[in-house]
Amino acid sequence: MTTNGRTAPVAPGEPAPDFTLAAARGWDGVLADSRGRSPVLLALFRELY
Amino acid sequence: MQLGQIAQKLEATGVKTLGVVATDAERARVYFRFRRPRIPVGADPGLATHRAFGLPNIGPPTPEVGEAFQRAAARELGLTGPATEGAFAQFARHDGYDVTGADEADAARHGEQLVGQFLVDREGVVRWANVECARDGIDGLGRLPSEDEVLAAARALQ
Repeated sequence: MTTNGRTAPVAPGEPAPDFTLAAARGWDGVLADSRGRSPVLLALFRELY
Repeated sequence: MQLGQIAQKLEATGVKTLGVVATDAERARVYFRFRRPRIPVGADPGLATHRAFGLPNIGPPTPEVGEAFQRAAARELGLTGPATEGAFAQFARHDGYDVTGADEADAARHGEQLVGQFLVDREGVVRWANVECARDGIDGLGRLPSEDEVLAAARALQ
């Protein structure tokens, strides 16, 4: 098993990584933009679902 | 937990929900044109976000993992009993969607990438996280946390 360069998944108390994504629908894709505005539940999926 | 349903309840607590799908953005746009998601979605075909958040990849598919996916699909479909063979294909088609070559290419490229959910506060700090299989081992494939757990974590931010 690998964790893709990290030794463990990001845990509570740690800063969320910044990232930019292509918008598939309704999102500009920049997590940093949400800072100072509202909390976010980020859900990462396999393929399309 | 159905993410689309809980997203509405999270919105009431001031929490937005964002999804990240692991496929090409244009393909995702076409898919979601016909199956409108209840949440905003970004596309990450290379799994950069999954890597950044340290979500495990458990490597090439194994029979044990395949059987766990069948059980997860059977659970989603409400099937009971020990015979779950074929449940994953049935689940993939349950809303009229047929798995395509692009789906199979994504799956082959990504291996068995685990997924997760992260609640990030307004300062950009992770306040709650759920990583697939972290609690239940391989039987945690496809299993989401309860709505109560997610809502409690969201309320704790206030």
